[in-house]
Amino acid sequence: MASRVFTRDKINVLAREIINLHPGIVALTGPLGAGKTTLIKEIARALGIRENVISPTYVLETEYRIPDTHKLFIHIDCYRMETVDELIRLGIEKRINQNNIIVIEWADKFPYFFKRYSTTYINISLGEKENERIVEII
Amino acid sequence: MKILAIETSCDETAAAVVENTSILSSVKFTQTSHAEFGGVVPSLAKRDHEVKIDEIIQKAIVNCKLKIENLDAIAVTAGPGLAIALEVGISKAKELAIKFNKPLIAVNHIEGHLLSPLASPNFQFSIFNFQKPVLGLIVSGGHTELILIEKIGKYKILAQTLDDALGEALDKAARILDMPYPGGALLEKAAALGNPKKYLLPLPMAGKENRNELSYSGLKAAFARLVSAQKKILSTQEINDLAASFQNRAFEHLIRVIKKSIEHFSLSTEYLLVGGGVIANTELRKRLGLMGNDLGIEVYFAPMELTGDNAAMIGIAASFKFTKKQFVTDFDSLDRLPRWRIDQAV
Repeated sequence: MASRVFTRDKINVLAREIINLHPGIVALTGPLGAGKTTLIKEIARALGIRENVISPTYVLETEYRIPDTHKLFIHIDCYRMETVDELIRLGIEKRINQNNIIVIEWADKFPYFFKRYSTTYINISLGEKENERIVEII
Repeated sequence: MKILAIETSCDETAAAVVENTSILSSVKFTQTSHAEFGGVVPSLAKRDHEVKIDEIIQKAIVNCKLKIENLDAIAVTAGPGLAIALEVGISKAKELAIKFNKPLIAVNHIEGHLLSPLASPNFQFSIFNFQKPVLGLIVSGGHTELILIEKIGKYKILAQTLDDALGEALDKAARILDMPYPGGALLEKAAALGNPKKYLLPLPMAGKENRNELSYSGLKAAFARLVSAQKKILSTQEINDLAASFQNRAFEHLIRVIKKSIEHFSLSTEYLLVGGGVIANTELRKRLGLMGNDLGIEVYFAPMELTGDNAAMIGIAASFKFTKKQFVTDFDSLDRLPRWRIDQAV
């Protein structure tokens, strides 16, 4: 899909669009400060999650229940991980295909792992203006 | 009373023995514990609590020349943290409590950080008569929270981060300047030699001060943009100035939110307890001290050895729960609580 420019106030539209793809795994890529966590917060909000979704960089993973469903919204950050074994040890494989939505930041650190699963890639890069981001859904 | 405390909420495998607020021993798995890693422990091994926990507990017991039999309780961090990491400590604590027939105490990791200043030799325990409200601030790699201590064990979160924790923001800003991760300490060194007014960065949440919220993602994004706009190899002075400019704004924002929250909640507080890894930063301690002078607030910092994650702070928090007999009555019911908020009961 071609890349498009989004402004900060249109991020909810992008979040909706991503949810409508019914993804199992959403892998977000892009440099520090691109807005990966910000987009994930918006996806969570669009799913009805009311808790404050904060960056899981330190803790590696945070799990939320999607309201009115048995599904989980699992937010994983590979930023501090050095090997794919750390990702596997979180028990991610078991939780894929259980109708959960798994959103992963810095998934591009372990590209081969995600090739085995149907993964929606969202690449975010800085746009020309301060509040613009170039978004590519693959 | 003497308590064995276990902490495995994220990266550190730690155990300690405390007697009330005195630390009899405190042990953490460190890089020098195992020569096999050749100095640098891979993060996978670092978090492999299961293989290290017995040895760490053993060391904590031996170091204070006691036996588990002589202790009064076992305490463990039940959350918040990483589920698979918390699990290791909780299972071990249950196992020991059953084996030695000791009461089990579940402790909130944030409460541990919050009460860690009590281990400081200059701590004034009289502030806990609560004639004036006592405030707590946690600034670490995973948490940034301003807390009202209504009494020990009863807390209210006044302000917290919406996105990145302060420690994480500093580490990531360092990474944007090509420093190795986690580079908060390197950023601090560079910032000490730089001009904080050289580059203008936005003040987070400007105009939204009444929300009592912290946010570092916008500042981080602006910083990434500022650095990438330089389009040349940065000189050491430029790196120092950039580091100083970022750190300055990050701390300015924190202090502004603390001041606004005190005003917003009309708190006639005179005391602030500060814990968490980021208070190892000299500039932050200085600024919090100055803020205290301004507002007539006495600031108590956690002792340096308790700023990072550790088990001694868990023991200190547990000692208050012991006094109130807040034990885990049904061991099977104690589960890991990865998102346990300090204002929630177990």
